[in-house]
Amino acid sequence: MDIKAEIIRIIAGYKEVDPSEVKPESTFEDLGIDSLDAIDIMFEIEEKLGLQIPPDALDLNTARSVADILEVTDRLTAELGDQLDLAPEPTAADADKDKDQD
Amino acid sequence: MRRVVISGLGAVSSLGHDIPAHLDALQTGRSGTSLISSFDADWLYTKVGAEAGEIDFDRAVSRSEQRHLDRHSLLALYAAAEAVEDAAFDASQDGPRCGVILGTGMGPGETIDSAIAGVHLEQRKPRPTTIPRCMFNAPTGHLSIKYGLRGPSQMIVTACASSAHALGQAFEFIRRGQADAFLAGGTETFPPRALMAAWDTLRVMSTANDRPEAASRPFSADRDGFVMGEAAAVLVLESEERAKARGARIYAEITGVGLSSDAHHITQPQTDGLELAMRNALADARLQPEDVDYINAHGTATPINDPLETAAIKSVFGDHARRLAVSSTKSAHGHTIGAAGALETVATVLGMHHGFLPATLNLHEPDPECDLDYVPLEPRAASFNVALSNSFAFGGHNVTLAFRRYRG
Repeated sequence: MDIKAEIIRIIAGYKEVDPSEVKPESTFEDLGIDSLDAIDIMFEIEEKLGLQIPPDALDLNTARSVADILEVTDRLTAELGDQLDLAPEPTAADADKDKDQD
Repeated sequence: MRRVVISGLGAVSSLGHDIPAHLDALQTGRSGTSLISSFDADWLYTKVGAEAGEIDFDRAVSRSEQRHLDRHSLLALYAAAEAVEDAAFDASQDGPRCGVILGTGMGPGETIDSAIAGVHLEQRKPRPTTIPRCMFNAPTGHLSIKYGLRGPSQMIVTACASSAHALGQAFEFIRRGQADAFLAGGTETFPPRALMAAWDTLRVMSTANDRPEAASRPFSADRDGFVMGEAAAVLVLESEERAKARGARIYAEITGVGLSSDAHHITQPQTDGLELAMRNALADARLQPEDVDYINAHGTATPINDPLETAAIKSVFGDHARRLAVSSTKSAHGHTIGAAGALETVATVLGMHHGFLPATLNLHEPDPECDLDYVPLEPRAASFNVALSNSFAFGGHNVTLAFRRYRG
């Protein structure tokens, strides 16, 4: 999975814009992302990528752009390396399993 | 002290999604109670409710804002948008002199439910926006932001008296000169499912599941409890000077508020407390008992409330209790808890403005202990000048508001 592209898709989805409008250099201000949105987006990234981003990994008081988020996720994924348990794309078998649990 | 007038109305409830729908329901005696459809109530004793249904919130709130808002905020914003438009209310020139005070009872049910279910069933973290969505005061914050209201803002939580307290507080601030205008009212959605189930086990809600539209039967011999309702009602309150200076249409004047506490029991009302609220309202509004034409009763249709409220009215009004009209519009829109005082104020003011006494629906045979004129079954054309609205809450909090037809 291309993590960068996935994060950009998450941000674009959150703001309901086309992913092509979200670039690493896009600032939160450009995208109309306020501090609460930014925290909510971090949550979505954690959920969708199965990634833990500890509160001290990114200072949202100083983060200004998409690049700031990408830098942190890059660092975390590099640190974790093989341990990183990225949520895999769901397979047909997983879908069946979900059904059983319901 | 300054006079305080009502210059705008907004409401959303099981009776409809705007004031014209509420006026129509009240004038035709239409009930909004039905079988609950917004969640599975099959496993509960009570399967009836007064749901506001699917609402076109896009009319009041942008899609992107909606996802940060629980339904209790959305309902408040929706009703407020109508009141603001109705009053042509604009705080852009005097924002620091304008405020917002609402009441709510049990908070943002949907958001609390999904957060709790996620944590307990899946150890799944709630979204961070759960906090601003779940704050009981979120609706007042959003109204302050949207309309630039920079004066006092509060959310009052006194169960079934919440929004009556809110109107009383806004009235007090305006008449004392602390502010000139308020958006004031209340908002309530169904509570978190666990609390809905607990209301069920408390055995205070109607189980008339076989006749849902007639489930709320205040003062009736066969009443069997209240019907839980969703609603928001927001009013524009202004100092008389502010309203007159801008040529606002004035629906009615608020002339007094009576507050009291039972100091008795956490759920059981007591006549002393109810009487004291009504006496305090009469004194505050400088009314004699015989001046009062109509009382919009708390009238929950629980076995305990209705005879007690009747006894309290008789004690306060003496012989005049037989001459004034009393009704409970909860028969139509259910018990909307934290929105009740404001929604019932809307009903009272619409009756005063349009010349009719709202009915107590479903009242075919009164309880022998309930022997006043409750305007049974159908609304009655009547011109009236002075009205009270009662709200009595678990916790023993009592509020009576006094209204008068406005004469400049």
